[in-house]
Amino acid sequence: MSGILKLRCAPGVPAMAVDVMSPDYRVVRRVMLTPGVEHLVEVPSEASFLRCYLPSGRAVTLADPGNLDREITPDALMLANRTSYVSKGSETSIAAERDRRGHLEARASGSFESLEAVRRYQATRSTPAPGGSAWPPPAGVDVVPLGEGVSAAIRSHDGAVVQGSLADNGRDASWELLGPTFDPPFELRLDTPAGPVRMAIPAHAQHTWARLDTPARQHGPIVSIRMQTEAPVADTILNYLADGETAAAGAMRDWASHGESLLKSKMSDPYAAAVGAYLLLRLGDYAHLRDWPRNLADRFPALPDGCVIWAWQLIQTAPSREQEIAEYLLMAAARGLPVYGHGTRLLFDGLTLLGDVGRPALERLQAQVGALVRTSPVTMWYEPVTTGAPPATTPEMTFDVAFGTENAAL
Amino acid sequence: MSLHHPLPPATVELQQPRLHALVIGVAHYPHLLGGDPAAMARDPLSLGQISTPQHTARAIAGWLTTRYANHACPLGSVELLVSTPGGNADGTEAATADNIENAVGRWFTRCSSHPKNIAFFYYCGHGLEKGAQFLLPEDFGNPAIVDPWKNCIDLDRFRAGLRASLQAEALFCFVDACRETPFSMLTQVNVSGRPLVGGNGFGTALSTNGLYNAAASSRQAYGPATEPTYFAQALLKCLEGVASTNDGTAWVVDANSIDAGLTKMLRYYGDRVGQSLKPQTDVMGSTVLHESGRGLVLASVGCATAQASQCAEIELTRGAVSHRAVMTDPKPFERELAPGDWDVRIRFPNGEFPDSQAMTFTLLPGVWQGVPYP
Repeated sequence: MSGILKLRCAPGVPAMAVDVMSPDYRVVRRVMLTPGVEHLVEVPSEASFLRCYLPSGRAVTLADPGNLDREITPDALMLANRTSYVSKGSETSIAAERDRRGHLEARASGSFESLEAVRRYQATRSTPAPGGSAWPPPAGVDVVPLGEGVSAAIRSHDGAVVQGSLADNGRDASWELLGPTFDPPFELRLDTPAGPVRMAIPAHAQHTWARLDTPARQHGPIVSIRMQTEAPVADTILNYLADGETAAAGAMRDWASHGESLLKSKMSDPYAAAVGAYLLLRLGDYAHLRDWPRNLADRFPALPDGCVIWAWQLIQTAPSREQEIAEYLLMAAARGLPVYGHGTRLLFDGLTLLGDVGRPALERLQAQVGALVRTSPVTMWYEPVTTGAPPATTPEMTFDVAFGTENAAL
Repeated sequence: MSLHHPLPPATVELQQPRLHALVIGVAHYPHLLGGDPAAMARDPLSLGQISTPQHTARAIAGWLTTRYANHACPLGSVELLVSTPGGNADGTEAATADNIENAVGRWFTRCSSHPKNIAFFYYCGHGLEKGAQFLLPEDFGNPAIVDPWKNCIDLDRFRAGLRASLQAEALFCFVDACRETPFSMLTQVNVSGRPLVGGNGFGTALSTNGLYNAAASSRQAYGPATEPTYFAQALLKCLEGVASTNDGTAWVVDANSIDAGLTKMLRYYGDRVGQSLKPQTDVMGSTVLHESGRGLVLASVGCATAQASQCAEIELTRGAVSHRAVMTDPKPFERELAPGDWDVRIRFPNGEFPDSQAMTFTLLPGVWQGVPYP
């Protein structure tokens, strides 16, 4: 029997995309769920159910046949994240899940056995208040050793070192990044046996975590990096896009369309605005982009992404404005590599489209990066090696880069 | 002749919307390590022979000719180029640079014959990256040619040319190549490649432009020697239903759902083989590629610990359908399931752990890994 489904979330549930699904697995409606907002959705059956895209990128289903007044709670999501299944009143299971997460913490001093285990641990750990009695450790250091000949350091745009900490377990490095959200990006430098690797960190990041594992079931070491920013919705969007969940990210388009407001206040957040703009660009939603990416480009020279976004918006909507497109692409190139990996790919593609006009800038940027780590949501690259001996032969290193979530369980 | 389907070439439909495919597999590199010692490249860039691409290209071409379905844009043609050490007994052309360039020309012309066409490009073989991405035909590194990069394809400029010039509805570009950056390549000058397709201006006729890049950065992450690559296996599973969405009228696979499906499938394969497998994609638009007619769940069921899995019996039940793994069966227990509510029951015949109650899971197309029991 059809009806109206009331859908809301309890406090503590982070913003996320939710599909209201019919019993025949059709998406009836996709919404962005945020505390304090109730959605009314006409459903074809009381057996309709929910598919929730957690901020970590994983999707879980919540079924409660016959209940058309649904409130999604953190505990329900936590259980579903563990089992893709929720039984009502399963407090015992919740306690067991918390025990399991405590168990993960206890094992963190050793290397995890697989990339999946690393991801599970990082999902649990990458929150503003990580568990574990020794956290955060008191002493800060300029360069944090991660093991296996790899060390990490973060510098601000003016070259100042941000001191990092190494946890008592000897593996978990962390940095607190405090500064205006509109500052130029930070840079993480990893010194590895295969050469230096650099990674952009948006200035609105508050916390960064890194650790190195050498899983027995994995070919080569894994460096996992997590960032958490002041804009959790932007973090969630980046995680969705990294997992190819463009359709789910589409539920955030209303949030993204408010990017203009993120640029207006004194505490503007151009990074969050850029993430929103990238999403709208990917969705082809130019109506919501209007012309505010041009403000992003003109007012925040430390963020080359603004120029890339505006140029690509013109490429898609006004390709005859060739001079302006070229101007902004070349301006982006002059400013350096974009912060976000998608932006760097778009910049390279845009300069390629410019042909001879874009070639010098393209070649200069390509010379700047030895090899891009293309799976990273932020721009990450091996420094080029032009002289001297080849780097030592080492097992290939995997970089697993993602954004943290507001809630450790999700 | 590289036209694999249909034959004869005169039967290719050009007046109606069609999908036109170009599939390339390079599993023979005479000028790279392990090739012809008398004709070795001056710098083989530490690259050797790979066998996987021949299996991959034929699997993709085979899927297109036997399984592809799209009532709005049926299959129009498949060009197939495959390089193997012994040549092709069936007369399939080798994937040399010139053959690829000629095949691209024919494919491009067919793709542009109707504005609602879908262009499908699949390359499997060696790839290199130095800022830009390059694809290596069979005759890459031919020492008889002064410019070692002459027999090389510049993927970035190829895609730029397609974007500018292709007069079709959608482009699906699958690049199933290692993306190695050998040290000696970092020090080379004048690295370049053939763009294959020209064009100018920023306008494009494409409403969907999807690049799906395997992004494997090592040979180990590429695939088994005698089977298609992990990327191809993942793509074929996606097309069979793992990436299906229900648009209200039918189960379909579109540009965005392939993106999400590939990510899940490759992560799953990566966990199995101890590799980090993740595609790098750039997708604009959401054109439907394939009408799969069904959703498919790849279920992988084991217990919370390997010890428990070894002594467990696992049963998956939905209505009258049941799948069962006994103690001696390999775990995790893998099955392809229809979407729906499935009951999972774990039993321990020797009593090592308490048996589970029936647990009901709502499974949707994709990869599902369970269950954390006991």
